[in-house]
Amino acid sequence: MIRYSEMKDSIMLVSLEGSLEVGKQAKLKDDLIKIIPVTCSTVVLDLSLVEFIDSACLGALIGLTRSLRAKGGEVGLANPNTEVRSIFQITRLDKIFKIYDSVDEALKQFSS
Amino acid sequence: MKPKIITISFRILSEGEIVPTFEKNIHTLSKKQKRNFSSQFIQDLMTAFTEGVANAIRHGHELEQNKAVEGIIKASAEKIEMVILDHGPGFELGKVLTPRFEELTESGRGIFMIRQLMDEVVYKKVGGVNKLILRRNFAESGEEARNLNFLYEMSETILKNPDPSLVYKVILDRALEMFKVERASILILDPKTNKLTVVASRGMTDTIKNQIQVKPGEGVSGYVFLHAKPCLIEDIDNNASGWDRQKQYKSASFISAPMICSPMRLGHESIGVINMTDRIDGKPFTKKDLNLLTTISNQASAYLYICNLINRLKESEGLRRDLEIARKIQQSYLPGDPPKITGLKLAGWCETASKVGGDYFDFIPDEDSAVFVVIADISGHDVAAAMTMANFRSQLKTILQFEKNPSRVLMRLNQFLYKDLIKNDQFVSVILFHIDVRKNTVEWVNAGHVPPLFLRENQGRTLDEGFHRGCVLGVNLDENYVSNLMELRENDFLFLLTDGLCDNRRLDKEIYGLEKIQSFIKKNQVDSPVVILDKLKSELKTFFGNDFLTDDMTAVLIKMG
Repeated sequence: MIRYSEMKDSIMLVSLEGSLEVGKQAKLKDDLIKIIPVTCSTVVLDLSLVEFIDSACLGALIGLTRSLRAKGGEVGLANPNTEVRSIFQITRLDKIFKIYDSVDEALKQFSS
Repeated sequence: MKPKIITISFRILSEGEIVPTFEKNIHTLSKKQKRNFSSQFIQDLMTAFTEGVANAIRHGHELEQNKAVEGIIKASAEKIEMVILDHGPGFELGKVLTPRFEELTESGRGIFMIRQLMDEVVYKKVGGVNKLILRRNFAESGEEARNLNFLYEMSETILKNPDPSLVYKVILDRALEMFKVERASILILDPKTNKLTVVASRGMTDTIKNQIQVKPGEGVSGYVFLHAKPCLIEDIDNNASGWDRQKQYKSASFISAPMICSPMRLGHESIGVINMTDRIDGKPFTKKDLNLLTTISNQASAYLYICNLINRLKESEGLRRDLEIARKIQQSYLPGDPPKITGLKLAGWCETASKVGGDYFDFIPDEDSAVFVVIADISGHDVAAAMTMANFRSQLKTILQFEKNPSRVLMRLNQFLYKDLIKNDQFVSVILFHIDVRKNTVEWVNAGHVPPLFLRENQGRTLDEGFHRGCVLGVNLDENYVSNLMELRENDFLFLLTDGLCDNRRLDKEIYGLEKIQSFIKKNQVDSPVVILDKLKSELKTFFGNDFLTDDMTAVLIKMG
């Protein structure tokens, strides 16, 4: 699920991969919470290698976003494939999440 | 003391004056009536007022300057009424209120939106004057529904400790508070003696409680139990409800009138009854009270069912038990045969994947010629999802007792479920249809759900572009769900589905997809919805083969005529 993560200035960049589907949501959330330092509240998730995401894992991402926003932070989603993007459009979660075409664009937006 | 009737007149020359005029007048009303309006209430009124006046300026006067839009705002004890007058050529309200989907324009939406916010909208031409009357009742219908919002309290409690007496306690406490009665009781059938016995009560001594043993068919409780029909008794010695006090009572009766009694049912089986009697204020019970009690008893039954299920499966090991519970809850909540409504044919099915899912659909009749059709997909596939489904279903049915406007129904559902959903990282996508056969319309709200398919003659389209769609429930507490309205004609098809139907993949990664579904319905459109869905099911089985489903698949098909 988590391919790698690195700190870019004060922003945490996490690259996800594979199919994010039911059964993996608890681990996804736990792993993300573990690698994101308590002091960090801005996260960019690189979705370019995510093939598919279902509602259970979407729920985990919503939960993560909610807790980071409570700290005054934000989550950016970068480069989702067409299928993943369409899931955000159907659920209208595209109104809630900030979605960017590339990691660079997300990092640029967040660092400014 | 009842608030006085207050009437304020206004005169508006330009769009810039609308909001200040409204704010000034609503402030005066609130002061004179000594009444506090909720911010949501003011927001709703202001939106409707702004749209109404702007429309009168734009269409009524065709932007002609110096011609005023006049009117009054009147508040009585029960409602607020805004009357907007103009002298323009007017418009046909019917047309604006039921735009055809091909013709849904920006300008039509203003008036259309008003309808969502108000309880009543009247438009008439008197002499040369156009009169638009907007009414909204003060009683917030959501208040009563909110009182019933003990569901998640209950689901949490019974998951920790599946004890039916906890369910009884919560139900009685809440019912006492709502109906303001001194006496209430829950009677459950004891299968050993085949008699109804009191399992929980308020305002009754233990001696009386222990004495009550009612045979099915005997007395009011026995009658309600046997016939599975709720009953309102105004005068116990002189009633017209089909049972006779002298003949029916073999043992002593402890009831007094007026009373309401509602059966507790699980599927087609009665398990007991709930009685309420002796109102503190001495007022009679109404039909509305009876409906409310029926809702409560349905909810109680649902939770008792879950209690029993958990207890019965106690021996199984954790995960297997959880899956079994979830599956049973889901299955028990799918509707039986759809209601029979002249001019409308309905069918639905839900195929559960190997993993338990969170798909749900239902048909809820609304008077004789209308029906609510709901389809929902709860995220996750576990007991939490199944419990959420139980809550979702009960909340929806409760809200529909008070609120018929689909957009307000979803707003309330979202508000009621929000806390629970965020706690579990869950969300719900849902479409709620209200189909009115007499008016030939469908009004619907879409909260982040796969858009419906619409087929007329040989033309098909998905109802997404150009229609309002809101975010899934459980993400944004203040989400404003706006409904869509469309005229229907004979032989029109509406098809609702969950994402499983378009997302399930064969081993070779091929999906069935929306286009295939669309052409399948087209090809079989002479058949009834039930037959079409049956055929579709076998077609899907052939397509997917035995490896079949990774996600639930749910489909509802509606045909006019």
